[in-house]
Amino acid sequence: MSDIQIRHVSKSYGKTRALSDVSVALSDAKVYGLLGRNGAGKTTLLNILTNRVFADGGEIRIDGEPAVENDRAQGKIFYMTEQTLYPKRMRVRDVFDLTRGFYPAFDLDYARALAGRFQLRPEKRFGELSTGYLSIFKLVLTLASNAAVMIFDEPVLGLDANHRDLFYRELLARYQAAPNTVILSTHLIEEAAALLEEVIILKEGQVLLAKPVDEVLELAYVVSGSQENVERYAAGKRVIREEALGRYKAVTIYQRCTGADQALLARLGLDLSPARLQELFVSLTNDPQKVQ
Amino acid sequence: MKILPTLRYISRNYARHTVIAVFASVASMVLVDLVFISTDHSGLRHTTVQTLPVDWVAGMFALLAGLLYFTPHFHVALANGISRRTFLTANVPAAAALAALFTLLSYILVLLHSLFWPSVMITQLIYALSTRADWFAIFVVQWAAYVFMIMLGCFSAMVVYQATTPLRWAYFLAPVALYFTLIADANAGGRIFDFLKDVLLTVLGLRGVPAPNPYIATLTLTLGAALLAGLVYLVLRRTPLVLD
Amino acid sequence: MQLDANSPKPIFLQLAEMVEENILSGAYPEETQIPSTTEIAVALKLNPATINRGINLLVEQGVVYKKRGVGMFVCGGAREKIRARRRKAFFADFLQPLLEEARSLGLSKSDVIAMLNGAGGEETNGRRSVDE
Repeated sequence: MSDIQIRHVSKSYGKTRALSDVSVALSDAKVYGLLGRNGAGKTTLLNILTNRVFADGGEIRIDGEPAVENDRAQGKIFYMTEQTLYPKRMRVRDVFDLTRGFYPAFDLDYARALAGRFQLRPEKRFGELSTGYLSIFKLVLTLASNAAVMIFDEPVLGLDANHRDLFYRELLARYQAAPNTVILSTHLIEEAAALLEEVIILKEGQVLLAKPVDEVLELAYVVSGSQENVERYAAGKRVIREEALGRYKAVTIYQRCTGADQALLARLGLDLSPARLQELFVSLTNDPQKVQ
Repeated sequence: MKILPTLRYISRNYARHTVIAVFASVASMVLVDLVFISTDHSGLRHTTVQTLPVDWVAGMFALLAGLLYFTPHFHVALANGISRRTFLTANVPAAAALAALFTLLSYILVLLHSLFWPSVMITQLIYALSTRADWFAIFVVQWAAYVFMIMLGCFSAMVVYQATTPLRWAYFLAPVALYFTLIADANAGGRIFDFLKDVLLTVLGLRGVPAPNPYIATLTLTLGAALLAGLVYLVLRRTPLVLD
Repeated sequence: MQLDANSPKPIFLQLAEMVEENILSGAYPEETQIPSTTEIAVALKLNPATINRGINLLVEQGVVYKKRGVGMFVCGGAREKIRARRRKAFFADFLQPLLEEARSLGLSKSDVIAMLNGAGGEETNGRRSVDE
């Protein structure tokens, strides 16, 4: 694991603001979920973290050292981007060897074994891999890297259900064997939700929220029942999502449910249920205002 | 700094590149021999020292080494957490080693060819260097020339990678433009041409009295390579990953 | 084994209950080792922190204990302890919702008692008589 401190990082591409004043800390060996809609700035942030793109302002420190142009700091991170940075004619097994050259802790035996379990053929050339196998290749490489920080960007893109299942289990086994910092950047929140310990939600280049999943879920709840009563209850509360079906209404409320609230719920005969990460994510990232 | 693994990676690809370069050099020798044999009706073959373009072929391959490999190498370096500074630092010994290898191989090829048919390389012809007596001068001037060509290739790759499209065109059309300018100039008295010729002859040590001096060329080419490497560094230092 | 992500009950509580079920059913006998965090994580695709939270709850309740360097073990008397606690919670967890449902359906307490007395094949008959 490594202590990653991201402070006031900003980045623009021409007139487009990709990141504005992003500050977030990933300081423990945890499974972090980096969530955000397309264009929210996830990949930009990861590219800045890994010294592939330069920030316009702010800084990132890895175990106290600046992350920019620093081999020692970068040697702790393994991140294979969505786009491929390897020559297309290279064979899978050659990339294993190559990676071992740069990451001495790379576990070649494990990489070979895992490739076998995913039916990834080591003699295949990089350019011949389908989307699914490119994903498999990336995750095999990352899992085998033994890096203190393992970043997975859309790891299950194009994977079938069996392979997704295999990946999630393998990731957890690996994480348990050597607790590293794991960053999962993904759209498939529903699937990954149970794996995450902490989430960082980006929206339009800003950190919307960075908290342990438990806390996030405790922060929000869903109230449902007759429209009239639900509206009476929700008045003056921070509603981030509404759903109506005839006279039935459900609202997601993003603030703690106090004792008084619960009494009111009982009196109004409303149903209380916890919010789910996926729903919460959709609600929060749809909401135009920033929620702390 | 992870210079060693980076150097190892670059060198492995350069080694593959060298194999192709040797094939091309041998092919060029065979071609020149064939042309000479098929056009020689006066029996000169037995008395003439053959001039082989192996060094110029190697020079082309040195340029290609920089041009073709620099960007892919840069990408692999970035993908593996290698800083731009380390990457460039590793490129210098890699270029030096590749140039040394090319120097040695072209020398050996000419030596082998000479066993059957006396021959020299173009460099030797220009600087009037004897294969056996002046081996050191041949080595240093060729080595410097190859390093320069590799760096020129790297620099050109950088231009392709970093520059805007108009700038890219300007860079690659500049030599063509220069060529036509010189032709036009030659028709108008040739003052630019003469000036450039003077400069080139001087820095390449070809105006020496009494004999052409390969060491001046070595110095010029080494300085030129260093200048190019510096320029590449200045640009690359701030170059983000670009993917098309 | 699957936990229900859609349930109103937090995952760590569901996990703790699942372990308890397995202790009650005898799948995890007393004084034997229960699966490790890793095994559970991989089997249920669950974050280890969540698992630890659930297991810690069981430790606090005296249902399992930690043997240093070995793993987690079921306490002696754990089954009885779980039963006693669940008996205590039986009214709140099962009867209260039952009565609430009965009330919204217009069933009186004595209707419910009648159903319970005739539990088995006659249950459906009982309900029909009320509907009519």
